[in-house]
Amino acid sequence: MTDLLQYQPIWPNSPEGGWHVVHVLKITTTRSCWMRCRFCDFSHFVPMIDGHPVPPLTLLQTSRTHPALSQAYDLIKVRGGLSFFEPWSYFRSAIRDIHERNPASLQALSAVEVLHFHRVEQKPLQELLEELRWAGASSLGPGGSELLIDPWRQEMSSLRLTSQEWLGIHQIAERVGLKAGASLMVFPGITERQILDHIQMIRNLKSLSVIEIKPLRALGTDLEILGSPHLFEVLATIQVIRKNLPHVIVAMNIDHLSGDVCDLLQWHGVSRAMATKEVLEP
Amino acid sequence: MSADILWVPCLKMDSHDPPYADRMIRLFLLSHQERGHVLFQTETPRPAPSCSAIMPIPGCTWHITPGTVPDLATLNAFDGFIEMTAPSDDIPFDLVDQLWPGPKLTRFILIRPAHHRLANLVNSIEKMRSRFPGLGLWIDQPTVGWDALAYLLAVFPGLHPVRIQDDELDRLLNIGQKLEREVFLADFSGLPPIKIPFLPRYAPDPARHWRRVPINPRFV
Ligand code: SF4
Repeated sequence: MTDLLQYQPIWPNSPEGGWHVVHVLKITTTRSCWMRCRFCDFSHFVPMIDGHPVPPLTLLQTSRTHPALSQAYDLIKVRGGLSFFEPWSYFRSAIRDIHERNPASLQALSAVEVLHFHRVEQKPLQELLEELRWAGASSLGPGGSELLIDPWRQEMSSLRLTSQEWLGIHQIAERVGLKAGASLMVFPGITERQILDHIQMIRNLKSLSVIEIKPLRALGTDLEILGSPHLFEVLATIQVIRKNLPHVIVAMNIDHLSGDVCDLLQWHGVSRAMATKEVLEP
Repeated sequence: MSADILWVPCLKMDSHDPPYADRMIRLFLLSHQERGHVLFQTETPRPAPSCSAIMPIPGCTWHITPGTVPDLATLNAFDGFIEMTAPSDDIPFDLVDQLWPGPKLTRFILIRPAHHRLANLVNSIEKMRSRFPGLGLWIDQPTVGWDALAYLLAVFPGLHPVRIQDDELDRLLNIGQKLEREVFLADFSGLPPIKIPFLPRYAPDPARHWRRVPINPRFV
């Protein structure tokens, strides 16, 4: 099989009723992170950002007082970089508060954060995930699953967890009742082989029902020179996923997309569109 | 899926002194390896190998815009070629029916109105192709947009874009590269098209980007 990702043009064909729009409230825990992933604009040298010390997080305050949490959403996502100072209990309390204030389904943290706290607080992974479930999370975020191929990860985010570690954490999460969430980052030059290898990994998740496609947003990152993936790369990636995981819903964030791109995504099999409101740090 | 994609640089000329107009055309052609189309918006066009004018002038292709579609008798009375532009949601099918097949109509350029959804645009193009097989169909990039253009070029291999500026040629080359179709610099003068080489692709460079020590500018 060829490695080349080849787009197969298809005729306009809207699915019955179009796609399902999910209204998401995105709560960013912190916009700084020491992990140095090359594709991420949260990545900063620690403990300073542009010459300023990293401020303490305001997540707990947000979770208790932010007016956005009184509005109706389909999904709340709590995600961000890795904090430098706040302990696990800080995040657990914040997630609990969010869940108590808003009944929306809650996707909290990701395998990256869970492994981080496992290391710094020496707590078993299962215990951390059970606490996350207790706090009100219904699923674990897809963070860390951009491409589950170790040579690629070594080059792009060498300090991060390995593919097996990511998968292992999600399998424990499934056992404690958290739904698995996976994503796929489309970067310029992605090959069909890479997509298939990624699919091979996430097939191991029993509860996987949604995969989120994330085109690389390279602005402000180490990979800026690469630019964004071409429209054809995004569409071809969706085609490969639809062919190999026909039962999985393909989701995409549509916040900055034109009407034409939205039409094209629907014709090519994206059936869940995420419209996001973001709660930013003050 | 091997049809080539043509890039026709276009120069719009208003009324100018003949020496100035000649010099402009000369420079335009020189900077495009003697290929390029000149669209005259004046009654006194200057000689150019590939040109059209927005009024009927002998020796020049008549460029008919949506607001100035004449009747069939006027078109038939004109002794020359015709290129017609029309909005994709209001194509004068009956008029084209009378002109095609025939020697007069050389190409048809579709302009997309802002409200025209992509699915409807695809239907319009398909209708044109099935009703007028063989008629050169061109599509106006600035009104169609880049995303829709990329998709249309993939779905309709015989379609070509117009009005792509020099500084956006890289975007067309990118589309050609992704579809594995060559892009050629061309015009309507009869001169052979010139192949445009694809752009080099950048690969991530781990050595340069990653293995450097992350030093905060504050400490340098
Ligand atoms: S771990 Fe996540 S937040 Fe941190 S740098 Fe990597 S992608 Fe960004």
